[in-house]
Amino acid sequence: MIRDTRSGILPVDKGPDVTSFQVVAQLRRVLRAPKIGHGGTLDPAATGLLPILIGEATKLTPYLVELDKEYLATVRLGVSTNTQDLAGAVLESRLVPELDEASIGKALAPFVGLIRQVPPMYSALHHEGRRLYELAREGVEVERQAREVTVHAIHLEALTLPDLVLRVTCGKGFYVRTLAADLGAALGTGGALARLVRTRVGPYRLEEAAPWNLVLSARDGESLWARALPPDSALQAMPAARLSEPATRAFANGQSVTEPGAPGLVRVYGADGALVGIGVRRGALLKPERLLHADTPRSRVLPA
Amino acid sequence: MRILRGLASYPPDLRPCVTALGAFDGIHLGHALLISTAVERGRALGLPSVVCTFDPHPASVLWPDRASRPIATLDDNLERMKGLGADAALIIPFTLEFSRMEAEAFVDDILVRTLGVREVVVGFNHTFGHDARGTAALLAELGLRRGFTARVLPPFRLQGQTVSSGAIRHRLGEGDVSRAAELLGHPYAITGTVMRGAGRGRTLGFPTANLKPDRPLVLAPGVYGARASWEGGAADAVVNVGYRPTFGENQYWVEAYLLDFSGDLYDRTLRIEFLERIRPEMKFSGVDALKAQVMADIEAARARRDRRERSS
Repeated sequence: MIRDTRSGILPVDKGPDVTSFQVVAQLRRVLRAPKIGHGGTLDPAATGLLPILIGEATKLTPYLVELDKEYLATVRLGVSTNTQDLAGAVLESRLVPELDEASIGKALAPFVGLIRQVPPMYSALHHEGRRLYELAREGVEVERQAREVTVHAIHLEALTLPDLVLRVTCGKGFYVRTLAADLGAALGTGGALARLVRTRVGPYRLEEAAPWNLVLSARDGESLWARALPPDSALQAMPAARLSEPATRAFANGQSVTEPGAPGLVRVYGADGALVGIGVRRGALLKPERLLHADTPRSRVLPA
Repeated sequence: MRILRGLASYPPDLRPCVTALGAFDGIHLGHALLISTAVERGRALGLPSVVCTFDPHPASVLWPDRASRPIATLDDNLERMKGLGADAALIIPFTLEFSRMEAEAFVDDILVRTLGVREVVVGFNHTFGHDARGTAALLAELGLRRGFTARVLPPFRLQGQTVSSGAIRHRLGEGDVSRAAELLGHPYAITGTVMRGAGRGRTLGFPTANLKPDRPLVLAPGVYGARASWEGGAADAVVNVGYRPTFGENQYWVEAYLLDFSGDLYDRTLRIEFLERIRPEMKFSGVDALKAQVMADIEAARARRDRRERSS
C-alpha cells in the first residue's frame, strides 16, 4: 500500500451513532495515513467537531486535548437516566414546572468557574485498572473522586421547556452529560442530555469542518486534504520563535539552543519557516520538548 | 398575499424572509399571535413574512385512522393568514415520503436554502422531521449554527386555558360553539352546497336549506344559532346538525332555517358560522312535537338576534 507522508489537522463534523475511534479508522483507510488520531473523544451520540491529527501532527495530541471546547447542549428536564443522556435507562421522571430564564440562570451560576465535578459512571475513566463504563454495565457503582474542571461560561440560548439549549465553554475533562444531570438535580426536576454538538475545539470551528457525508463518501484523500490545516494551526495560542539555520539543525537533533524570551512552551520554526517542534524555554535556553519531522517524501515500498 | 403551492414554486424575491412555521389548523388565537409575530418581525427587519404550512394536515397523513378532523379548510386558513398581514403562504404538500425527511435536512434544505430564513417563529410544541425529532429546542440550536433566530412562543392561554386546536375540537365535540369561538377568535364555520332535500321543512311550515357540508364535521349534533351567508346575501339562521333521528334517516346533514328570508338558494354555496348552541339533538314523539320545538328554536334565535342588535 502506498502511504501518504503528509501531516495536518483535519477538522471533521462527526455524524451521529459513530464512535470517535470509527471516524479515525475510516480516515486511516481513505487517507492511507500510517499515523492518525483524534483530539478529544466525542460520545457516539454527540455530533460536531472532532479534530483529526494526521502524520507528524499526531505528536501534538497532548496540546490539543488541553484546548478549550465549546458545545451546544440540549438538556431535557424532568427525566433522569443511568447514563445521564437519553440513550440510557430512565431512573425517574417528573413534571417540569414553569421555569423562567432568571431561575435557570440562578441554577446555572454554581457550574461556572473552577468547579468540582464527579465524573459519570458511564465514562472511560479507570478504577483499579478497569474502565468505569465496564463496571457500570455490570451494575457496579463505585465512588468517584470529584475532579477540578474549568467552565468558562454557560449561556442559556433557548428555553423551550422541558428542553433547554445551553452554550457551554469549558476546559478539558468536563462532562456535559454530568452538567445536564447536576443541573436537573439543582432544579429539582432531574435532567439528561438530549443532544450534544461540539461547535469549537480551540481555534477549530464546526463551520469549517469537513461534513460527515463528505468523509463517508470520499474515494481518495484529496478532497479531504484540501480541507486539512497545517499542524501548527493547533498552537496558535503559543508564542513562536524562528531559529537560524545552525540552531534549527541543533534543535532538530535534540539539543537546546539559545533563544531568549518569556519562559514556557514555544512553537519553534526553522530557518525555512517550517514547524520543527515545541520547545520549553527556561531563561535564554530553549529545550526541545517534542520534535516534528518535515513532510519528507520517503522511498515508497511497494508490496512484493 | 401570495399563495405558493409546493417548494418548486418558491420565488427568489421572498428570500431572505421571516417565517411562521406550523400546521395551523383553524388559525386560533395562538396561531394568530404566532403569525402576527412573524409579520411584525418581517416589518421590523424589512423582510417579507411567509407562513410555511402543510396540506393535508400532517396528522391526517401520518395517522389516517385516528387523526382528528380538521377545524377549518385550507382556504379558510389562507384567508385568515392574509387577514393577519402575511406577505405569502407556502403550502408544502405533506406526503409520507416528505414525513421521512430528517429534521436537520428540513432545516437545511427548506428553511435555510429554499426560504433563506432569518427568523423562524414556532409554537413551543411544534415538531418537524422524521419521527418528530425536530423540536423547538433543535430549531433554536440549529438556528445558532446556521445563522437564523428561532422564536419559540409559549402556550397561549385565555382565562387560564391553553388555546390549542385539540381544546377547540373538544369544545366543538361538546357543541360548545361559543367557547370554541372565544378560543378561535372567530366562529367555527362550514361551507356547503344547498341541496334539494325531501321538502319536509316546507310541508312542516318552515322551509330549510339542506346543506351538503364540504367535509366531515367536528361539531356535535344539535341545534345552533348561526349566521348564514352566500354571495349577495346573509341572514341569521337556526341550524340543525345531525342525523335527524325523528325520521329514522342515518345521514349526516346540515339544515338551516333562515330567519326572515324567502327565496331560492338551491345549488348555491352557503357559509355557516356557528354562534351559539340552542339545544342538543333530540328525538320527538311525532311531527307535532317536532314542529313545536322548531318554532320555539326559531323564536329563541330571533330573540337572541334582537338582543344582539339592541346591544350593538
